[in-house]
Amino acid sequence: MIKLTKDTIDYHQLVEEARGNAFGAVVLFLGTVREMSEGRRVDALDYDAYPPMAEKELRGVVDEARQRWPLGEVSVIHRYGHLDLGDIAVAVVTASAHRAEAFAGAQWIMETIKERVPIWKRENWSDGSARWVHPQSAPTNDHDHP
Amino acid sequence: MKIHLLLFAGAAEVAGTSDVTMEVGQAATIGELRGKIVDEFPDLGPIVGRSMFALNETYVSDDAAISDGDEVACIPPVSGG
Repeated sequence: MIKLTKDTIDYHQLVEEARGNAFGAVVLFLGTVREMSEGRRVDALDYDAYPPMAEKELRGVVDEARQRWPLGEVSVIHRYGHLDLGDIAVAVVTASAHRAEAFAGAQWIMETIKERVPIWKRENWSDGSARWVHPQSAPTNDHDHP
Repeated sequence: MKIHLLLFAGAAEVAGTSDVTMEVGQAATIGELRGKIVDEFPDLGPIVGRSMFALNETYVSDDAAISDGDEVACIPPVSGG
């Protein structure tokens, strides 16, 4: 399953869906809302997204991961809207015959999401101020390669 | 011709809108549209300069040509995850 959602992510269900007799390894990554960001206390995050394009880019990222590693089931769910501390912002599940491919695939999918999928977070700090996060390093232009 | 411009995150905040209809000349490119956006919203200059653009939900380069009715999205540096 690949999607953006405003609902709580049921990672238990994702993991169960990924399990299968062909796979000796299932990796689950959860990205959760952390209290401290660059030394400042965060109360909450708000995510903006371009949902149809984000889902399309997520599918592309997963397709590309499948070309790099022999992966079985792969799920990526990213939330948008308002998230509180500790909430799950993103879940990635990869299943493979062996653990190395499942770990590598999940890590690469996460890194690539952070480079190219049109989703943005705003940090709402405990002092009442807020800031959209737009990293200084530009997104890669490397969008076309398989 | 008219295009539909989408702004997100910090760009939408600066512009005060996330959704703009813009009039552009025939055979306009994404690069030309960048200039037009900054003419209309001067405060967007810095962030538009750091943004990628998508045409109908696909990333494109500045020389991509825009057609009437296209959906163009300004994609500032992303911060998902």
